[in-house]
Amino acid sequence: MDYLIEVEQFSGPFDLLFHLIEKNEINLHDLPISEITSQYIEQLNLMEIIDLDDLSEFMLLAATLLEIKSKMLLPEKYDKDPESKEDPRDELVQKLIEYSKFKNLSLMFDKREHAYSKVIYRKNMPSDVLNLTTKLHQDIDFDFSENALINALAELLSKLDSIDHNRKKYFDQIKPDAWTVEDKIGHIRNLFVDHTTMAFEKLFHPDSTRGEIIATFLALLELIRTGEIKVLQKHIFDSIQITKSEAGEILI
Amino acid sequence: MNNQEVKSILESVLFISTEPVTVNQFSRLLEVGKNQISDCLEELKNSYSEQRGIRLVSVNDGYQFSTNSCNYFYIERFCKNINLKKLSQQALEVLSIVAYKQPITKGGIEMIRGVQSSGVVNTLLEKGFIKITGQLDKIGRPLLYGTTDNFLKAFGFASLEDLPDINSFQNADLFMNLKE
Repeated sequence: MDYLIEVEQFSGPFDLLFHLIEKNEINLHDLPISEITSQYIEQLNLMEIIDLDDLSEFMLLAATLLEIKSKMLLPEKYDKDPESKEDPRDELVQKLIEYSKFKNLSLMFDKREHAYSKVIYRKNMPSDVLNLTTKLHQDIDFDFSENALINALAELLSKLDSIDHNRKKYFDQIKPDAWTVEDKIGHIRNLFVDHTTMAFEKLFHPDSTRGEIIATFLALLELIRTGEIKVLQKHIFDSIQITKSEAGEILI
Repeated sequence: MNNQEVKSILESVLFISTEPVTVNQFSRLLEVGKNQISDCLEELKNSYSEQRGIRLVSVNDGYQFSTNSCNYFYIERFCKNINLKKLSQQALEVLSIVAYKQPITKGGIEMIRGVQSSGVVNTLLEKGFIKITGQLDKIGRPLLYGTTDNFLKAFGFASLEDLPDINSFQNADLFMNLKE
C-alpha cells in the first residue's frame, strides 16, 4: 500500500524515471540502462493508472528504454561507423537533465507559492474607481451592449462578496431555488407598470443574495431578447438606463 | 510639482488600484517626468518598512500595494473569500517551464515533460498565471504561452529577470561528471 501512495505523486514518466535515478544515486553520465529499465517496468506494474492517455505515455518511455537497451547490446554496429559514435542513451539523458531542472524549479516554485500566498492584494473596488483605471488603459475597446451589462453585473456581485454576511447560511442545507427567472420577469414587468425608465441598479435590492441577482439578471436578458425593454447608456461611464419599449415596438 | 506632492498623489492612486500601476501610467496621469516618478515610487516603497501592515510591491514596471504577509492570519479571518488553493505538482512543472522558456507552445512543454499537458495548461490559463501571447508561424499555427503579472505576484518575483538562474537547479551530485 505504501507504494501506491508514493506512486500517485509522479507527474509523468520522466518524473518516475528521475525518482529511480535519484533513489539509486545513479550518475546520469553512465546510466545503467538495463537495471533502470527493469526497475522502471517493475514500478509501472505497481502503479494503477486508469487514464489511458497517461498510461500510454508511461509505456512510451518504457519502450524507449527497451529500445536503448537493445541498441546497447549491438555494439559492433557503432564500431563500424566511426561517424556515429553516439551513445544511444544520449538523447534520453539530455532530456532527463532538461527535465530535472524544471522539476527542481517546480519545488522552488512550490515553496514560493506557499510563502507569497500570504501576501494579499486588493481585489474589488468601487465603481467610480473602476472607471478611473480603465481610463488609464487608453486602448480599451468599448462594446456597449455586452460589456456594459457584464461589467455592471460583475460590479454588483463584487460588492456582494465583500459584505455577504449570509454566506454561511447557504451551505446548511440544499434548498429549492428561492428565485426563478420567471418570477423575476414578472417582477420587472410590474416595475415597469409604474415607470417607463429605471436605473439598472434599481432592479436589484441592496440585500439581494447572489442567486437572486443572477435570476434578476437573466430575467433582464430575457426581456431584452423579447424586445420588451431596452437598455441604454448615454455616455461611456454613465449608469445604464432601462426603458420600456413602446407598445407598438414589441416584436412578436 | 515637488516630490512631496507627487508622492502624495502616487500613494492615493496606488491605494485604490487593484492592478499594478506602471511608471508610464503615472507619468501620463500626473504629467510629470518618468525619472521623478521612479524616484518617488522608490522612496515611497522604502517608507513602507517591515513593521508596516502595507507593503509596496513592484511587479514588472508596475507598483501595487499588498498586505504584510505576517498579518495573513488576521486577513484570512477577516475576509472570507480568500482562497488558498495550491497548484498541483504538474501545474508547477508546467508553470516553471513556461516561465523560463516563454514564449513556448504546448508541444514544447510536452517535449520537456514527456506527458501531454493540455489539462494543466488550461488550469493555468483559468487561474490567470499564463496567457496566450501569440501563434507560432509554423504548420498548425500553434499557440504560444507566456506568464502573466499574476504569476509574478503569486510567486513574489518583481519581474522575469528576477527569476533565479536555471542552471543552478541541476542536481550537482547527479551530474558531476557532465561538466567536462
